[in-house]
Amino acid sequence: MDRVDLDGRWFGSGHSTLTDPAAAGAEAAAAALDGRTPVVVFVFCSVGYHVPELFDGIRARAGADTVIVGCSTSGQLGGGAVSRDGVSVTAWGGAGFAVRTHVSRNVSGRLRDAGVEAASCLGAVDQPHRALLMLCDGLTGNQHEIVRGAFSVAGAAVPLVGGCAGDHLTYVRTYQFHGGRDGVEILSDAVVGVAVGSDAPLGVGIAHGWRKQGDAMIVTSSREGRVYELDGEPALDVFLRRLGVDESILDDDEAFRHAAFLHPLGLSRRSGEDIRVIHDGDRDDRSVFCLADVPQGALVWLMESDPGSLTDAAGQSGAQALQTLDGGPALGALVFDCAARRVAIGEDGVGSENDGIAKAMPDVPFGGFYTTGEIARVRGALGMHHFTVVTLALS
Amino acid sequence: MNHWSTHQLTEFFAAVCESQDERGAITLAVERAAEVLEAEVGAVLRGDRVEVARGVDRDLLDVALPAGPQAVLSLPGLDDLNIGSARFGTEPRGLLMVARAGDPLDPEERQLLQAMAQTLGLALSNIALLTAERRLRAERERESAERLALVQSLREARHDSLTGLPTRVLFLEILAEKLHTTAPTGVLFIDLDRFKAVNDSLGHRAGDDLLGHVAARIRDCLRPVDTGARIGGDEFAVLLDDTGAENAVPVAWRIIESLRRPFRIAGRDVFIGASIGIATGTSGFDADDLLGNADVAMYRAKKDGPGKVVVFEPAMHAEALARLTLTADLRHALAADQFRLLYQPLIRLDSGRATGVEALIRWSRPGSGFLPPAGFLPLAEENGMIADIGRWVLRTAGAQAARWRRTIPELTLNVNVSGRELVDPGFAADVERTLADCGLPAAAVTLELTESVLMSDPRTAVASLTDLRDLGVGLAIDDFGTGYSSLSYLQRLPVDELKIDRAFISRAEPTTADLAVIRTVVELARALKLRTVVEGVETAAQHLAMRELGCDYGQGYHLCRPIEPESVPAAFAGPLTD
Repeated sequence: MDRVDLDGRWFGSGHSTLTDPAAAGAEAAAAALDGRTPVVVFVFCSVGYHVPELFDGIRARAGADTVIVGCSTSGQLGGGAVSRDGVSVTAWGGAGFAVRTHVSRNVSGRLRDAGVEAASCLGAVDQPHRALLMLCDGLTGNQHEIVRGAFSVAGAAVPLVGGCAGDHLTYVRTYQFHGGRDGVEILSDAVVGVAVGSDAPLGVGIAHGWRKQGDAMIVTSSREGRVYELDGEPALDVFLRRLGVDESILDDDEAFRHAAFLHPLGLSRRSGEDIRVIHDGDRDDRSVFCLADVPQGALVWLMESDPGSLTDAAGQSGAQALQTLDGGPALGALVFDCAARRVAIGEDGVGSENDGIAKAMPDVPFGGFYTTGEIARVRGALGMHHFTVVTLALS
Repeated sequence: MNHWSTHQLTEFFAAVCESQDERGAITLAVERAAEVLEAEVGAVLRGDRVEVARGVDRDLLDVALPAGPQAVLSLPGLDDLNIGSARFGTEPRGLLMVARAGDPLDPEERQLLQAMAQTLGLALSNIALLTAERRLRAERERESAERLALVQSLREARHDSLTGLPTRVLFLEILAEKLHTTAPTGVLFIDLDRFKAVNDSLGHRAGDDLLGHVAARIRDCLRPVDTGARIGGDEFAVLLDDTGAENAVPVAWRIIESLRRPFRIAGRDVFIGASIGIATGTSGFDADDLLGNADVAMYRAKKDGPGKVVVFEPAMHAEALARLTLTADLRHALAADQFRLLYQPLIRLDSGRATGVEALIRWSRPGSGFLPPAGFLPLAEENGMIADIGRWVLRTAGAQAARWRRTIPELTLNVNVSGRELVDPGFAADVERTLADCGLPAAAVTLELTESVLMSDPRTAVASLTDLRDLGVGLAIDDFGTGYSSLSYLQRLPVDELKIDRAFISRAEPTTADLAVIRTVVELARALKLRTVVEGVETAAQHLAMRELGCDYGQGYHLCRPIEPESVPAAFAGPLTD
């Protein structure tokens, strides 16, 4: 199911794995738009494309007021397919929709302010149902601060969703896109805020599929996303011992990831655990790196899962999103799925996961990407997640 | 033990205590409490007003908060929220509040909120203490900086920033200290000659540079136990330890010699000099008095001629005192209208007729009678009052001459001009304005300048005289023959008249030698096309001799004494001599 049309409101999703950027952009856009003028177009593409040419094929199909946003990824989904290298285009339009944007630039070192700035576009949208969607650079540090900043503006009545751009988990540089028919800016170190307004309800789903393993540990020394000590011992030593692997695993990035991504850290929270993925270890100071804040003094568990639980989480997220649409029919959905989950479930798992989403949201087109951090706040005040799938559904 | 809520307290505590200011701590506490308890809304209230809110606009919350003990908060766009709150602090009391959709806070969560509130209360009182301490520290630092600045300014007041030498203040302190001992102490008061000229011609920066070099040379002439100081613009002082007058004099000469050598300033050699006064004292002397004595001696040295050394003698005090009184009286004289003018006619020697008058100033000093110019003009020149006096003379004599010329149209006026007036850049314009005010044509006026004034700085003199000449006034060299005129300059000075000094005809009956000198001067004047006036003609023989030598004009008691203005018209009525 690539397109749905309800009373003039429509949602479409397209996907291309062509290597020629212009052809890939054109193919994905043609499938998503089907000749209609969209309010907004989301473009998620793998790193390696010559992006300006890719946008040529998309901009040619946009209207004068169409908003084009997006980012680079660690894989994308849409049009019923999943790819490592490719482009996914998701768009919607028709009556009762409004989209406004604000870009916060040079955000490193001032993430909270960036969140405040990005959320400023909400004021320009006055539909009865609103959400703030954010596309962030995945390499700017403690992204929780961006969400805190955005929440301070948006307040509890507006859901926050979104994801952080990726670069195939190389952690070198990610890109954010923002523009329209007349041109699209290619940015780094930016937060693109997208205020989504709709006359019909919006729904958000969150799921991860992890459970605690073994005894709890206290973070006895940490600074932001870097954990130095667990239970007073060097964190890397504790982690390797718990995994039952030798230090030499650090020599092989791929092997380390496979081991580490299956055992993230879980921070103790009221409604479950906040997941923190361990991305690397430092042999010199014996610390481990997470891309998000792990507060000193926190209680953490090593988490475990199984391919079935992880794969099923995507479907659960989708189902949850539909449930919160107040019973109305779903038009389409955006999916923000953690790139580390993809590594954990493997390529076979990716296919089942995609099928699972389609099964949970029958006849609902969806598109999205594999992220380096997921944003979702519907309840409470927390909104930054890891190793999680977030779904935004439109009705 | 492993309930999730207790684990959050350490995180909360660490985060809140990290804040440096009250507002930051409260904001953080609200934010973290809402996050931990998964509450949509968090707030801190103080005095029943919402101070910080998260998840909802503060004003909106202020209005929406239930007044009574209801535990439910209704906000637009949200389900009803269950309120949980905990008090903290003493005065003012605060309330940490969260409001959450769904389940109300369970007992452990309420306990956690209470612990968070207490933590916040502790953090706030710590911050208040730290802030007070920081303020105190800042205050102390400010005070200590002020003290330092005061010490620095005192130091600056005691050391001259230009030369690094002690100032007058410090010099007197050191001197007073020395005067506690029985050994004699010598004080040199050094005044630079021609320093002002350097400052005026090369600029203040060059002047400052020169003072630095002078200080260094003075220091080089001293022993380590001696002290040099800069006590005024171009005045220095030296304290010579354990030194009487006889040993101080050679030091003074050494300094004069050292300062006489050229200074390399602004790319050129600059020549100055110094005059030094010496005073010595022993135990019991007052430091101020001793320095004053050296100053008096210096004044005498300066008067004796540049580059002199004079040792103080008590009699000099009387002179200095007299000078001070004279200065004070002189300052008063103009305002009190104590000056008056006499006029001495200039007589054509061939006809015996008066053709012009020279204005001569007299001071009617109360208690002293009439003072001749020599009794006060040098002092007036020294302290600058000469400019005002000169202006008064020109204005008074000019107005008088203009009146006389109504009946005696050929009458001309000679007025004396001082060296200080000549170098004043505004002098020519001043003269022009005064003559215009009096209604006296410039051609009827001759300004007289002494030979020594013109020759002390001939280059400036030529420039100034040219400006005056351009006005149309005549120029005369007064007292010619008493100085050391360079004949080459004499030729280049734009003058019209030579007034031959009375010294050449001091004998009632001029000798052949006297006449030979005067003849030479007259011939020189004729060659340069200058009029000649001979001064001091006091006998008939002198008159005759001068007429025969070809002098054009004469002045002197034999011809006519200086007369009151009212007698002038009569003097022009007919020939005054045969």
